[in-house]
Amino acid sequence: MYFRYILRRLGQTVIVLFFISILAFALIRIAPGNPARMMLPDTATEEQVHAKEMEMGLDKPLYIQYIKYIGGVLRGDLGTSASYQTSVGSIIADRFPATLLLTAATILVSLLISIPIGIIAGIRQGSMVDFLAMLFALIGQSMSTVWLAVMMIYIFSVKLNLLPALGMGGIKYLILPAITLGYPLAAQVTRMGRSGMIDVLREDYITATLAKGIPESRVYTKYAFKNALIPIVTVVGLQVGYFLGGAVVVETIFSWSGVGQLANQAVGNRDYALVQSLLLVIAAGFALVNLIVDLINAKIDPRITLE
Amino acid sequence: MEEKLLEIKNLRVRFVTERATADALNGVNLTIRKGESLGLVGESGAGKTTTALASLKLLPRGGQMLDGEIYFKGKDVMRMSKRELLDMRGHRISMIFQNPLTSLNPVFTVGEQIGMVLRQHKGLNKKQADEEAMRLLETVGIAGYRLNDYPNQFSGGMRQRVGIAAGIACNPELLIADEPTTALDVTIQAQILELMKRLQKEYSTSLLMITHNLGIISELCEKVAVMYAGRIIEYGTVREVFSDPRHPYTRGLLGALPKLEGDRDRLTAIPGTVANAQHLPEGCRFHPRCEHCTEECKKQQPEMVQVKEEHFVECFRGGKFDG
Ligand SMILES: Nc1ncnc2c1ncn2[C@@H]1O[C@H](COP(=O)(O)OP(=O)(O)OP(=O)(O)O)[C@@H](O)[C@H]1O
Ligand code: SF4
Ligand SMILES: [Mg+2]
Repeated sequence: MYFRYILRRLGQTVIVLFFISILAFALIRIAPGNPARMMLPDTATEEQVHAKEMEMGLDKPLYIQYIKYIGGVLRGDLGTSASYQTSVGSIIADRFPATLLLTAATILVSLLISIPIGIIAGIRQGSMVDFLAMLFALIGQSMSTVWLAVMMIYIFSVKLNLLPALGMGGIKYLILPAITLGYPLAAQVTRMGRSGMIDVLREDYITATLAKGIPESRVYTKYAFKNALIPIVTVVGLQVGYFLGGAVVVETIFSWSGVGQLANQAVGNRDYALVQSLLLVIAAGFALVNLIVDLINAKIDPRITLE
Repeated sequence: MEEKLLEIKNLRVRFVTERATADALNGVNLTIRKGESLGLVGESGAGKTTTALASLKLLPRGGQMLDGEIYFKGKDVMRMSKRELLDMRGHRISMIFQNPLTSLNPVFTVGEQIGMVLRQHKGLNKKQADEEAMRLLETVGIAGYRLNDYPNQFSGGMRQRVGIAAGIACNPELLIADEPTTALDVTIQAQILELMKRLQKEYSTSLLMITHNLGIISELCEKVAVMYAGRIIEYGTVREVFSDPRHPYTRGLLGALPKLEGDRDRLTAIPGTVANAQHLPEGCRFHPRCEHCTEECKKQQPEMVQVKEEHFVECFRGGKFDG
């Protein structure tokens, strides 16, 4: 059952990837102007443009051009960046680990905080703990990222001089951007954990489990939690997708040289080859994360595979 | 007289929700002795499930026990230690829940849901619990290999039998069955009743059988308690109560049936509207529907009176309606 579901989702993902590649391919060709010129720096000569036109096969039918393009992508050849004058593949490969690291740290920090808080708040609905948890969530969901980032830098770097504000290095450099990026997510997961637990604890099957003499602590952490987890996995997956696409604002403010900052620069420099490939990589990453989320959820909740 | 297993005294439970306040139980007195089987009947909302849950100290959120005492084997349930409470639940008393579609956890296998009670109370490991759970599934007529299937791979009737398998797993001293046969077809129903009879004989399990089906009660129980608006209004041996019902409500119940074997009778054939726990009448709670109602009935709560050695009724007229 689960195996068939995996196959089905894999098939769907391949189709999604296909459409993403068409989109990235079309980006350059639909935009006004000469596609070959767009792939080159502004300073390129007529000969260079002509050579590029030949290379892209612009005189050939579109499907041939697509096959050429996708063949290049599959071989890891994403073209040359106009602003960096090196291969797009190596630029992205250079930046991706930083974004991955920031994403991992962000998810870790926010889940470690929000899941226990949300669960406890749900179990103790109406208590002081619940009130504080809701306050924590409310603040996190209403604060803008820019403002939060500025406050973090002001308090922890400028005033207390505890943590570096900008750049990359050890763990120290990771803390402020991870918290800034993670707080809104933590707020959301806290709320979902809480409301999920409240709903689940009302269910007959939880009363039935308690009636079997299973200790409350185990009923909550094992038998109820698994039900409350499903929507959380979905939301966290969505966020991972966004973060992998680069958290543009946070990466830019904290001078974190990740994919988000790169995308920001690429658009600013009108570096089409880079933009095209970033679109492709980010969207593909999103589709893959989605696939993983669905597979995890299907593992948690067997009803999903039975539809 | 056999030892008292479960004794409920003057139990009052109120539900307070944002929208309303419901007086679910208004002074319930009920005793189940060792080896005895008691049928509890009453229309929807009478307080049957609430009585069962209160006995396990498992009232749902919003439920308050205003008054009363509950004793299990002489021990005050409300004062039990955590340990005693956990040992009582699932081991000494087990409960089969009313709605099979909502009472199994959808994200755990049925094997896990039967096995957990064995691991908790019998100290079995995972493998032993699985083996025992398989045997229990076979007992209730489900193939053992379906152990690792999830609840939504089963029909309603099969899920009910899974609930029954979990309920009998530890040979409880008291089995509370909350309408355990409603979703079952007649053959399976008969098998389940046979199974319960056998449990009663082999392990002298006491039974609290909550049902709308009077046929099941006459088949399975020695005693019957009739519940109305959160009180027991008639109690006695099944033979006594069914052959000579005294309370006007009970009379209506029995009169509404063509035969005792009548299948799945919802108790609706009595004139008047079902009592609403949010607006209960003063005095005898049955008086708006009672054709024998007097002025006294409207103002005062009648006391339980004994009409025969093993037959009690809560009515001012004691069931004498000649005039
Ligand atoms: N969780 C709850 N919150 C609020 N009110 C409740 C709750 N559970 C029960 N009640 C109320 O308590 C009263 C008794 O309900 P209970 O479930 O015990 O009835 P019942 O006899 O089991 O009925 P049924 O035959 O429909 O199962 C009803 O008026 C019901 O509305
Ligand atoms: S006490 Fe009065 S109202 Fe109530 S059942 Fe008896 S006769 Fe009817
Ligand atoms: Mg009920």
